[in-house]
Amino acid sequence: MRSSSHIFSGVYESKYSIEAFQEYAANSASLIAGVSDIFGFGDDWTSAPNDVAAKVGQDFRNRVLRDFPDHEFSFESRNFYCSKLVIAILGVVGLLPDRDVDARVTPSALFDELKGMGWDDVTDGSYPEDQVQGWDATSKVPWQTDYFDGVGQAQFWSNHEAFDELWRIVEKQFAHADRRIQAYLDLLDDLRNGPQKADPRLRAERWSSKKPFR
Amino acid sequence: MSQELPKPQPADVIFVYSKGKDAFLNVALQKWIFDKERDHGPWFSHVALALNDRLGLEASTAPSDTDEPTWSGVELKEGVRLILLPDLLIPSRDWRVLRNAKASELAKDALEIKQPYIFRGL
Repeated sequence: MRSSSHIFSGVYESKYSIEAFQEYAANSASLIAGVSDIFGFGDDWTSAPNDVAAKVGQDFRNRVLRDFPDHEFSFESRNFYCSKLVIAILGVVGLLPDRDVDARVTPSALFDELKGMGWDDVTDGSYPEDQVQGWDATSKVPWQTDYFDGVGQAQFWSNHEAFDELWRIVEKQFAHADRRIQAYLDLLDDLRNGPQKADPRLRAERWSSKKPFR
Repeated sequence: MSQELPKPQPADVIFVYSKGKDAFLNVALQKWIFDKERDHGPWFSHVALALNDRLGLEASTAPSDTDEPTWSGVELKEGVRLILLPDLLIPSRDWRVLRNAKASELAKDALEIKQPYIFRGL
């Protein structure tokens, strides 16, 4: 299995293709834009993220970024669209080669692409219509149980990672405080040794580089 | 004799043409704009990935008030979400499923929910 970082960093920055659809429609095809309006599609076409970055709250994010402007949250806000999500996951597990994650691919085009790469169409053998409709005759309770079990697992792992995220910030705060205290101690040493012995340039540097806690 | 049921496998890529105006417009945009050089079908409004024989992973907009309830009755969220395969397939007007021959060689836990690349978006 390959590292997901470069793939997902790209996906994080991507926008849901429907946004691009809308932009394209607005700029290039007034008819389509009109149809889009008639059908009632608004700004909520985007597949909004439902992740830690979205949950931690803007106040908290602002506070962290004020103290640590370079802090990068593990879960930066991002949007997916259906085929990009599938492409990203298949790439991570190694079933698709590395590719430009920003390249826009529609579901229909992805179908052609996978077929062209030799993927088997297993619809007739594994998903024929009569069998799919056969699901309708099964009890829904085990399905519901599986669904909520899956959602619960996702929540557990998500919370676990959220805790790690927050702990990384706490550790940064500790390190920040430690440096501040050390700067004060150094200054006290300087004063104890006599102001005439303290190097004024060093003192100035220490003070300027150690802003008070915020 | 009991009814034979579908046989999903992890990493099956499930293409559907859903019902409803969203799907219609989505496919229309593909036909008229984004894939206008594509001179053949089938056309799909959506694609999802099977994680196992019960659950799929998909990215989707928020359900609208006019959407029909899911087959299973569970309430779907927006964004990257889990979906029961019957909830994906039963209400669709058409579907095709592609499978990579090497999918069976994947690590057993490659598509489990504990993987960060799966649960992060959920």
